[in-house]
Amino acid sequence: MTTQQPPQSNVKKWRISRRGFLIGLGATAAVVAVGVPIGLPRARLAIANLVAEGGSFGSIDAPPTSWFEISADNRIRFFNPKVEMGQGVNTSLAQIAAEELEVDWEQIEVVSASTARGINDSMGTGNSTSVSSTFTPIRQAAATLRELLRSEAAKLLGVPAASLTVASGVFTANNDPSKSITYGQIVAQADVANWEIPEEAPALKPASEFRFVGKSTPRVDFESKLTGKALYGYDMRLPNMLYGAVARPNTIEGKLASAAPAKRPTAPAWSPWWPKTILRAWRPNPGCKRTRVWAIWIWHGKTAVSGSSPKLMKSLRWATAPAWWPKKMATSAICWMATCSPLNSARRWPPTPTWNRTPPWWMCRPTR
Amino acid sequence: MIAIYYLTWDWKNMKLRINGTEYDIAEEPPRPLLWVLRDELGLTGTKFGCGAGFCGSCTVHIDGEAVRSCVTPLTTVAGEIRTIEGLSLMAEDGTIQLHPVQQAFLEDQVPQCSWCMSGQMMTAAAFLAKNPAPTGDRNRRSDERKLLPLWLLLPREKCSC
Ligand code: FES
Repeated sequence: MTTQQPPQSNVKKWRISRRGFLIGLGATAAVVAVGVPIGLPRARLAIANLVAEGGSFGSIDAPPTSWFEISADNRIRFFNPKVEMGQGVNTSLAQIAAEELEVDWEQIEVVSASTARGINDSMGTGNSTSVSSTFTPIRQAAATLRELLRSEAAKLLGVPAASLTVASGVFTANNDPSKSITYGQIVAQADVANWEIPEEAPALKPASEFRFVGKSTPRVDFESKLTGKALYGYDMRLPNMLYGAVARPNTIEGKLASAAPAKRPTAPAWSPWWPKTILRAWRPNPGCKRTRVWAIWIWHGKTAVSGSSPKLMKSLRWATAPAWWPKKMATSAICWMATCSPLNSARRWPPTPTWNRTPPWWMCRPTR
Repeated sequence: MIAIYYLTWDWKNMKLRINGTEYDIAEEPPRPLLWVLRDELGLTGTKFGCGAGFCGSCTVHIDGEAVRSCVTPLTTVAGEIRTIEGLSLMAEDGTIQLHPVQQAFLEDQVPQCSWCMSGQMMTAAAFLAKNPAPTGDRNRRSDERKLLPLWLLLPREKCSC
C-alpha cells in the first residue's frame, strides 16, 4: 500500500508577541512563519499576553490557528484554518493573504492547518463566515510578516526600510534598483530569533489598491486537482492506518443495546479441490484486511415518536422493525470499527467534501 | 492438471499497463480495478464516489473507452489503462501540457470541490476522442472550444456539491 501524507509544517518553535502574533522558527530548513490565533478564546489570549512578557522561542510548541511559512525558494505556504470543501475558501483566504504579502498568485500554496492543539478556531467553518471572520486578522498577520521582512531587508541591503518598494516577494531599493532581495533570501540569511515584532499593526492597504480581493482569481488549488495530484482526506494512507465508521441507529431514538467485537470473516482453510467459484465467494474482500475488528451493533429501537406527525411517521415506516422482530434486536447494523472504545483525535486533513453522498471522512491521529 | 491449476492459481499475477507503465498485480483476491488503482498503486486521482457505477467519479479509460473502475473486476481488464494522472502530458522541460479537456475545465473554472471532476474529464476526453466535433442544438460552444457540452455529460455524472 502506498502511503500519502498531508504536508507538514516546517516550524518547530513558536514565540508569541504582545499583540498575539506568533513567530515561528524552522528547526532545520530556512523557514520563517507568522501565525495568527484567529478566534482564540479570551482566556487563552490573556495567557498568551502573559507569556509574551518573557516570551522566547520554545515558549509555545504547538502551531497557532493559521500561519504563513516562507521558504528559501521564495514561496509562501499558507496554513488555512478553515475547511475547504469546494466553497473556495482556500482561494478566497489566499487572495486576502496575497494582498498584504505583496506576492504573485503563483507563489502561494494553501494547505490545511493542523488542529493538534485543539480546535482553536471556535468559529468553525460554516454560515458563510470564513471570509468575514478572518479578513482582518489574516491581513494583519500578512502585513506584519511583510514589515518584519522589510526591516530585515533594510539591514541586509544597508538602506533605510522606508526606501524599499516590494512586489512579487522582492524588495528593491527605490534609488538603486540593483539592490534587491527576495523574501526567500532574507529568510535564508536572517537571524529570526532576534527579529523585532512591530508593536503597532502596520497600516493595511486601502481597498482601491486591491489586486486580488474582489477580483476574479483562478482557484489556487485547481491545477493539482485537474491533474489528480490533490490529496483529499479520503486519499490519505498512513502506516498502520485504522478505519472507523459511525454506526447510527436506523430507528427513531434508537438506543445502543449492545456492541460486541466480532471476528472478521476469513476464508476457510485452503482446499485445492473446491471449485474456484466457491473459494472466491468465501474470500474476504481486501478492504477488510485493514480492518482490525468488526463490530456488531444492536439497536434497541423505538418505533413511536411522541408529537410527530402521522405524515412523518409514514415516511419513516420503512426504517422501523416489523412487530415480530425480537425486541432487543429491533434492527441491527454491521459496521467496521477500528475500536469499540471512544477515540480522542486531532484532525489531520479535511474530510472529503462529498458530504451529501458519502459519510464524512476525516484523517485523525488518535491522541489517547 | 487440475490439481496443478488449483495449487498455483492463488499466486498468479497479472500485468497492468497504466499510463505507460507496466505493473505486476496479484490477480487474487477478486477486487474492483478502482481499489487496485487507489490502494495498491496510490493513484488516488481516480475517486471513489458511490462504488456502484452510478456517479462516474471513478471513470478511467481502458483502450480509450470510458469505464467505471469501481464496478470493473480487475481480472476482466484487458488493455491499456489511462487514469487522470496520465491525461496530461509531461513536456521534455518538465512542464505539464494539459489535455484540451483539462484546459477547458481550467479556463472555465468548472468545479466546486472537484471530487468527481476526474471522472467528468475522463468521460469527456473519451467522448471527444470519438466525436471530435460534437453537435447539438444547445452545444453553442463546441465549434470554437471543443468543450463537451455539460448538458450531455452531467446527466450521467453525479456531482453532489
Ligand atoms: S464510484 Fe464508480 S461510478 Fe461512482
